[in-house]
Amino acid sequence: MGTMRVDEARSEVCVTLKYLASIRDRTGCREESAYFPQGSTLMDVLVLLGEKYGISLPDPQILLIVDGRGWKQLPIKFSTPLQSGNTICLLPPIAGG
Amino acid sequence: MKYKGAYLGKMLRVNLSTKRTSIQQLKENEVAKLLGGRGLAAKLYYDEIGPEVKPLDPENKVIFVTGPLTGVRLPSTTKFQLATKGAETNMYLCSNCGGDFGPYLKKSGLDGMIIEGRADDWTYLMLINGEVTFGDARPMEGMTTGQTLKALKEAIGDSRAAALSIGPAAEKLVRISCICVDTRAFGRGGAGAVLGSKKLKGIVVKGSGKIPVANQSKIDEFRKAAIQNLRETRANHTKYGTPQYIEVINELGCMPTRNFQTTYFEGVSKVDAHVMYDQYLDRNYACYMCPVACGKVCIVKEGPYKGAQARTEYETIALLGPDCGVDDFGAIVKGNEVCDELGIDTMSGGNAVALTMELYEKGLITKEDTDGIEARFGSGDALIGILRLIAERKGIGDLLAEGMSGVLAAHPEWSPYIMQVKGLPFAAYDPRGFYGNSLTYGTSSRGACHNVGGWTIRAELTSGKYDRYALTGKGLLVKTIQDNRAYVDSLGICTVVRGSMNFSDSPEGGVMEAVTGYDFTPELLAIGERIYTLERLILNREGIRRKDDMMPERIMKEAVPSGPIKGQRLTPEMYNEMLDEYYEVRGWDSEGVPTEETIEKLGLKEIIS
Repeated sequence: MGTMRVDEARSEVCVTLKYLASIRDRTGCREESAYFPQGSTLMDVLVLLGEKYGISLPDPQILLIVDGRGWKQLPIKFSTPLQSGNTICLLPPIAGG
Repeated sequence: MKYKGAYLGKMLRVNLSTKRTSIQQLKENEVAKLLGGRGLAAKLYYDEIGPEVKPLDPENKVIFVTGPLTGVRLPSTTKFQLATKGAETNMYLCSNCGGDFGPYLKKSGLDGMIIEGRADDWTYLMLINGEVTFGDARPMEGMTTGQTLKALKEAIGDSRAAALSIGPAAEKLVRISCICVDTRAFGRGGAGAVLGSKKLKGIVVKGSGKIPVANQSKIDEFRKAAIQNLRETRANHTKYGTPQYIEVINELGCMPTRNFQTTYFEGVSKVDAHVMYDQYLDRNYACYMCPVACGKVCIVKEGPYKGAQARTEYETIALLGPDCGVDDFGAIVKGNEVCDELGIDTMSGGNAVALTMELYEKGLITKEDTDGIEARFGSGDALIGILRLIAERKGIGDLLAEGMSGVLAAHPEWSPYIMQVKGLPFAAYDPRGFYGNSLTYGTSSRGACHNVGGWTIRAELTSGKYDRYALTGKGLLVKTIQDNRAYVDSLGICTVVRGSMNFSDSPEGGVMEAVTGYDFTPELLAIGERIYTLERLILNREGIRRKDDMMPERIMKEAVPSGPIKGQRLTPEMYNEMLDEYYEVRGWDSEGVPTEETIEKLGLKEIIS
């Protein structure tokens, strides 16, 4: 599992980023840890994903899930503060049957 | 008929007892209210298969109906429907299948056919442009489904004809046996055994007719736009197919693991879509007119299962893999191949093996029951061995061959380990992870089916309107998805492509008018609701009530012990709250019976009178 550090100097939160199914074709890895300064939000994750992998969110072909819930369910959406231990998954659109 | 296209107006009736055939006309008022496919098949079932008929009686019938879009030059117009009294569930069964058979049936001049009676000895049917020949299938007795399909095409003299067949399991009336239809299947509910009871080994069809349409140039425009849409939105499906959801559902904590004892499989990285793609995928295959081509042919290149070949899908991988504790993709492919050749539904088969493994590990059955097989979770050899026992009706396989209802009747003390609703075992989603999914299983028209019952996970996860663990709103959500699916199943297209032609829960666009000459679009969701309620009336007539809409013991009593959704539990109180809301939005009473007012409002009175 890889790691990404954004700012080693300040106190940080550590989140796990997981790339599922075809999303892994774009990132080349299954999961990695990422460190962000205290006070960072989901938007900062999006910025990092854009810079590192060229992933631009929101994208109807990519679902972003935070601790098992879709980002649209979060009360303040991409402004949601990150907390250490968050698991953020990127996955393709899902359909059953 | 008033419609300028889509319908040929003819249903073929074949009596295997008398070897007589006849043609009956489609009824225009029924087409107007029920569309085709699943809707019309339900109506024929309602009229002709009473509650007193048992699945394996000669009085049972097998009804095949195409939809108005089946065979039309649009993406994935591949589907046709079956209705019968299912041998696995002992009640109304609707089933949906792709491949070429449905379109070829239409090209042979027929909207559908009804098979009734019982042949004196093994028989096959050959249809050429609507003309029926009864063939001697005694030389095909004991053949695998693949061998039978080949023999049928040799009989008709055309390897490109379409065919359906049953395998040795259905010949032995194994209640979880399926009907294989070239590359696809009527998998669930035991339709295979019904054909087996009729001594009908297979049907082969070809036709050179044209399917009439109202406006070909408009259809061509819609086709181009739909193909473009699918290239953009379904590229993942083309590359990885449904197996891409293995790691997704696992990560969400809903993967059936070791007979639904847990919901997160630690070995998932050995059985996910990348493993399939990198190590086993041989080629894609497509259903009729489908640009997505999501079908995956996998071949095992080395190891103990070398040479095994099968068309693996999400449900099969999950229920033969994690649900049996198996993390060997080669074993899963081999298990899939065994099911295909012998003609067993992979989903019910996987559930049966998982149950056996749990019973064995708990000491409730022994090697004497399993014909010497060490039936432990994780054993690929045990997976394959138990599937063969079921097909051959040997040892515990003879009991498992009776389906979960049969197992429960013989051993009610095994109820804590049996994952089923109305006799149909669960699909590969644990409903403790998405509560709407529990309602899906409970209220599906054919037992615990995520297709017919309405797959809620996407909406519960991504729409922003629901929380996966909320109760409120799930009744309406499930109803809406069920009604959407009911009309899509009546059209004759694959659900994977429905978005490309705007067949959502707010349907729009001109496809229906271009094909039939009549704009069904504003009525589609209401038609879906009508079909669903008609199916419920059939089930009520067969004795189904609220008590049959409940979840099995494991779901209602056990909290998930570990994994991403550790601690989640769905209590009876919680489930009943959702069920009450569902009945209310459906206009059904507290026992799940549609009220007179609902029947009137949906225009069902004249249909059922």
